[in-house]
Amino acid sequence: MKVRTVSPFPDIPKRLEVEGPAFMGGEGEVYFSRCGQFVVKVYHDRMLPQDKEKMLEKVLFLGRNLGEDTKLLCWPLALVKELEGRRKIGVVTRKVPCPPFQELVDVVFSPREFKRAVERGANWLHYLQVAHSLAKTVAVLHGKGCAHADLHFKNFLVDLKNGRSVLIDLDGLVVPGFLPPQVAGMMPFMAPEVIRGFATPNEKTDRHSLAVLIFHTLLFRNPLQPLICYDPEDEERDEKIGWGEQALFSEHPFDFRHRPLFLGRPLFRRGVLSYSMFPPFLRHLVERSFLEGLFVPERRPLAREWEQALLFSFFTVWRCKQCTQYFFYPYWLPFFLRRCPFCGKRVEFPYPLLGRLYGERSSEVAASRGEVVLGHRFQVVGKMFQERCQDIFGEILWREKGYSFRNLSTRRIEWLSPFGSSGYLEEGEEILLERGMLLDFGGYFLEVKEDGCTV
Amino acid sequence: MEEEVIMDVTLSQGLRHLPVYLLLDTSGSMTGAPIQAVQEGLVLFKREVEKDTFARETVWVSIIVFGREVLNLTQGLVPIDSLEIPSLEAGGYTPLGGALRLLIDSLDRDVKKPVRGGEKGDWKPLVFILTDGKPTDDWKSPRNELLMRKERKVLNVITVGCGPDIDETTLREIAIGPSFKMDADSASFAAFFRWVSQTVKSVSQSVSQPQGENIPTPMPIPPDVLQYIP
Repeated sequence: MKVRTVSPFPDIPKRLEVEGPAFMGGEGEVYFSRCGQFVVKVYHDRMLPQDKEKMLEKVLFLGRNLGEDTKLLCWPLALVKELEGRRKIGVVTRKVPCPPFQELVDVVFSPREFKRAVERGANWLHYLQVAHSLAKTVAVLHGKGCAHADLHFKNFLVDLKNGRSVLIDLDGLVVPGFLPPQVAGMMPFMAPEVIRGFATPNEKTDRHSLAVLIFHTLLFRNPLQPLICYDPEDEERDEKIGWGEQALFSEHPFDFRHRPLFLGRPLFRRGVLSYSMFPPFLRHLVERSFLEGLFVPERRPLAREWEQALLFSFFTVWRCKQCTQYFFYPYWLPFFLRRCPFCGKRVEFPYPLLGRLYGERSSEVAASRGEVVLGHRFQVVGKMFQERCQDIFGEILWREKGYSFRNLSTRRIEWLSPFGSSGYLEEGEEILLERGMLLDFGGYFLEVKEDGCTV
Repeated sequence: MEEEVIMDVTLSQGLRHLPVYLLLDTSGSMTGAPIQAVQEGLVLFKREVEKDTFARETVWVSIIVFGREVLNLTQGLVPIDSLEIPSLEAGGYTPLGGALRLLIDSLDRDVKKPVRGGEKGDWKPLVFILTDGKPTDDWKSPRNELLMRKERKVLNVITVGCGPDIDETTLREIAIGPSFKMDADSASFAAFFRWVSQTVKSVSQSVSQPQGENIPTPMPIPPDVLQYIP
């Protein structure tokens, strides 16, 4: 079939040969171009608001100078004018290659999808990368003053092995005063105020959807999944109440109505993962999203906050010796309770080294996320202190008597022992680390909280 | 090397199931190629539905055949991924009424009923009826019962008549929801089962999207081989 398009971009063909429809959605039909490069979405005429085409033109206008961000956002590139000679309204976007990309739902819907992915060589660390990518993508979009309005796990395509994601379906963007909301969303990801009809999608409802998506990606369940029935007569109304008026965090500290059975039991022993496996700075964001901010949109964390916290959380992961999954090393628990949340195996000697970070200017290192978990051959890098710092300071090595630090940089690194001695490390020199020792990287400090040997 | 860890994982809690009933005509006139085509259609149905993550986790199926015997081959509803495709045999008459009775029994017994403040119920079931002839028993009273039900009602009953013996008038009488007719060649059966799979997939997904009160459940456009009977 032939499609005629108009586009502000010179490299988009004016005429496309398409096949399909490949999908039929609620809004319209989706076709693939014969050249394999484009996706064409044609709306059902009856569903269209009068000024849909005007709105789409605005969306296109907003996507003029994306640059690097096209890797994260699959922005509309052209408008459809005609399909087979008939006047139609629609959009053209580039086609995201599947595989390696697939819908997020296919890897996170339930623990079964996770198991399937693990059997194909994926690891939970890939999921953490994807979660970070989701947050980054939404942060970029919000940074442009746009809200997506329909974030859910079928609108993110992910490449699990490489921890990448692409956001699609940007034709319903919301920009206050410029583009009004056009879509409602998918119930399990919608903010309660939208389900209840008190608000239309906006940046703050996106924040809710993003928090649900991140939770779902890391724990394989919806944090607000209603478990009880509110209206036995009408399932649709029941769902609306369960996700809207009666929306409740599954791990609410004293309201247990939506608490799943076997919460906190290891996942591979028919258990359910709990957000208590998150380090404190991530737990805090979950609580702001689903406890404080569930009905108070202003309290919900910004996409940018998630992005930063998830980035930092990479420095707290440890690998299970039994099931080989990575997990957040639970340094906040006593030693005998530090277990792998997937298989339940206790962390054994040698334990990782636990460091605490400080900066001369306190604003640079948020005190709440100061812990890093280090093991043999882990590097100590500037990124731990500041997102943009590319420096490598040194590496941690496991030696006979314990962990030592080796200076990999050209600068002199000062060390201070808790017993009062001190000295300098030149390039290539190393020193055995013990509890209480302080390393000074010039304005950035690392304190050894646990040396991995003494309990 | 680490020892192999057995990953014993569970499904998500709190997901509503979507019950799907397939009522298949296995009367004598289906002998040969048609019954073979239906058999292959079931395999295709399972494969297609399982491919979709939403559907795989929520769709539960029951297969009821009516011919020489009237049987619920799955003995109630089973999750789509543990559905074993039964082998079908054609023979006998077309006791549609008996099949509707079994459907009613299963609706009462197997579809989960919601309890206020307790467990959530299932979604309203989808029912597909495939037949190639006139019913040979009393189908009117079970059909009425199905229509009059107060609780655990069905979402939609889609009736498809196949082959040359289909009488549009009867089909319209049997049907509770939309009805279609098609040829009894293998391509038609394949198209029919593909459409059933698509319908099941889109319903399993659409139930999580809020709709206006009066918008009907979206149904994929039937393939060309299915002719709508108004």
